[in-house]
Amino acid sequence: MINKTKEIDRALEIRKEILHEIEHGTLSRREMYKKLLFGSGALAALSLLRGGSGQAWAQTTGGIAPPTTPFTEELVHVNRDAYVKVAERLTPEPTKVANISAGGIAECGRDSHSVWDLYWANVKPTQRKTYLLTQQLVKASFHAQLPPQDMWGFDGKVPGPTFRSRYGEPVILRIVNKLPSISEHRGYGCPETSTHLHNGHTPSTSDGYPDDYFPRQAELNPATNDTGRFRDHHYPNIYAGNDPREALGTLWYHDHRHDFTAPNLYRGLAGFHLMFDEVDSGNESDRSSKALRLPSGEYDVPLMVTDRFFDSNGVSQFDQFNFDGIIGNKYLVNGKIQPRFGVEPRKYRLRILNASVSRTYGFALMVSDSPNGLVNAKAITEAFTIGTGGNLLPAPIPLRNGTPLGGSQRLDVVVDFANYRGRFLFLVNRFEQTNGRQPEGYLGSGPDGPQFKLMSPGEAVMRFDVGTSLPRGDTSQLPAKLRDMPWQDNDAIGLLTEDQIVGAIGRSKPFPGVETVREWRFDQSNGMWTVNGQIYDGSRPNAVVGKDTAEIWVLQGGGSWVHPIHHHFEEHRTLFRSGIKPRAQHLDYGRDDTMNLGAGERGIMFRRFRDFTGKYVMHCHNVVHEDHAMMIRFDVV
Amino acid sequence: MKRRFFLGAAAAAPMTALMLPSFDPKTATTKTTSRSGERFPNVPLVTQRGEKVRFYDDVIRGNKINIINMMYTQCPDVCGGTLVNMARAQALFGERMGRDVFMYSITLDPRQDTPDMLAQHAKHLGAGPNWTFLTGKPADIERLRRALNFVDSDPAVDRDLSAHTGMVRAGNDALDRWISCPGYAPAKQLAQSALWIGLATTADKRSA
Repeated sequence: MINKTKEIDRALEIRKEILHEIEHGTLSRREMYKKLLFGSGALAALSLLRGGSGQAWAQTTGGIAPPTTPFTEELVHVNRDAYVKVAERLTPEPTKVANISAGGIAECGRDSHSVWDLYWANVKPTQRKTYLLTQQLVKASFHAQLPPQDMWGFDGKVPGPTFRSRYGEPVILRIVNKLPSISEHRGYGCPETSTHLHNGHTPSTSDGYPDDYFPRQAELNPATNDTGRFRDHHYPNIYAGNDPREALGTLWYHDHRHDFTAPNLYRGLAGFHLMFDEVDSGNESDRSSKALRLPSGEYDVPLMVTDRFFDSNGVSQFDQFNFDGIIGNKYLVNGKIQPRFGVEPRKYRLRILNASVSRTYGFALMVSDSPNGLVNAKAITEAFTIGTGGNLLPAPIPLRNGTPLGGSQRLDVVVDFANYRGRFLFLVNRFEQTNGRQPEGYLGSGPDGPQFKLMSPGEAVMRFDVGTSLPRGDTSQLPAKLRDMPWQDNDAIGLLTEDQIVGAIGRSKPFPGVETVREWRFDQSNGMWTVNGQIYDGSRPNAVVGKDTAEIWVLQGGGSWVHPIHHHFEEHRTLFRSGIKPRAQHLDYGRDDTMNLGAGERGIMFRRFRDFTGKYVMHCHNVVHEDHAMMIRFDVV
Repeated sequence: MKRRFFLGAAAAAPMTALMLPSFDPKTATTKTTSRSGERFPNVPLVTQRGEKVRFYDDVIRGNKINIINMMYTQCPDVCGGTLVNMARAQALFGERMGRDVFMYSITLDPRQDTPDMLAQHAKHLGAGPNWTFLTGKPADIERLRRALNFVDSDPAVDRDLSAHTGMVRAGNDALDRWISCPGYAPAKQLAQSALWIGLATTADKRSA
């Protein structure tokens, strides 16, 4: 039993000592880390270090966040304890055309569902799934030592419930908005919402387009005694181009309200959406020869990593006057500050998501000599990256020590804890970041993403407490081959050189099977974010692409910023990053929905536009940049 | 240099903020936002009409949508586009100007920009009575600029007046809700973004 009061006292003592030594110039940074990360001093570490280094926070809120004892909160297992339940019946029934005159709660206006007949009406009712989520106020508890605070959650949860969808089983997700009205709500965020299924191959109407937002109903509906209003989202759950090699795995949903994505995400409107099929079947005991039998069920653990800024009252603040990016002073996983997670000595699948507003992480899995922090910490060799962009790679890659993960990106990892019975492992962030630009010490980029100087030892995001007993054994596998890629290294597109591609910018049909090559430059001028020198204007498309065509897009980063560029609709294949072609050992070898562009970096991607038409966006997923117009619209016609 | 700043900032934090052993999560405040009144310095300013105003009391305070930018009359570049867009937005707001929408342009160059010069500039732009141009003491203007974060995080860029930000702030103090919109956005978008802030009333007054 931990004596918390004693521990806090000890931490405050350490803080006082450190401040004294800082003032007298007798403490090096390395020593400070060492001091902070030993014993219970770790609890003072994050708040002191990052609270002190952020000039913007000091400016706006003042003070230093109260200490929180790390590794005392239990991880919320969102795939075991907080997954979404199928709604047996939606009232009123979902309809192709928005049911705006429904009795009771009415639907908001929207375009009609474009592939309703094919992927809903004509699908066997037993294969159709309906879900209901309500956006509502919630008192969130990030840590027992901090006050509960007002957040917005799907079904009152932060993060929201986890979806477990299957290919071939279309979904209608009804979202009811019961948030406060615009005139009631105080502070950051806009209670009008547009929910995007991130990485989903989704018809435009259901994609969460930034301007497809809806408020709750202003007036009380006497028929239902309710002020809710809903919007139905139709997810056909089909492979892009009907090609099973285009399967998606780790998706997430989050609010995408025009101008308010960052504050609304920070308010808590986000959750996981996992997709399964016969290959990635979600059953480690699956007898089918096609099934990979990856760790599943309670051994398949989505980890939504975020950072928040807490003021001296321990209240999470969002600086509405910061346009570079919001960097927090505490790490959270699945809504808890630096939680611990008891695991069995066996294989686990960890689906790590960077749901932070602005931070880029450099992740590592490390074993430590101490349960309280990183003491003689070493990266383990029993961890493998099996997927990026939420999708399975053709083959596992050993997890690198300091794997970059930009805003919105996912890292799918299989780790075997079998060799660590009774020991403590940590998910560690090894990149130091104090402002919205990029982590400290940019070392260059390539097909593993932008690299930054590694902090030593790093900052612990969460702890894994490895048990000694294995009650049910471990029937899961980590196969040497995962999912085939929809391309060969030496296909016609893969053989193009960077010079050939760049020389073809703007040309029509420059290569067989390629409609055109487009360039997108991401920059800033006079404090305004721009794409190709232009400001986002949602009323007209920046590009019109033909359905069932393919294009090559050249992305050019600018300045001293990292820009995680995310596009909707269909995933890309990376052709070049900083002049280098990704090979099987590189993280960029897989398909992805986001390219985390390093400062001044050029990235080249091949994209297809299949199955649906309508309007979509591409934008920076430092969502503070997105909200300040670093976004373009493309229409598929 | 970086380290020095970092250490300096940590050392400069008031010791009182560290003394939190009696912190009790049950009784601690649960407010989730900082009040805007705490953010904005209530500095004295002068309008283009020569009126003396206080920034928080007379400009920010109240249940209304404030649209604020910083400019200077001799700006060779970015101000032009932004101010023309604001002029167009002013027309789009129509009769809401002065009722619940107000526009403010604060000079970045208070040494040069006298109330008369601002008045002339306002006239050129066709500014109505509810688009107010403001100047003041250089030190006060600088405090304001920092509070509103019209600051570039790169100090070299920040020192270059011609590289000043073209972002426009919009917010309602009663709702403690603020956004920022690029001044080069289409005027329609600028106006739309400002209206998205909303008003603190029981009925949703925002017109479509």
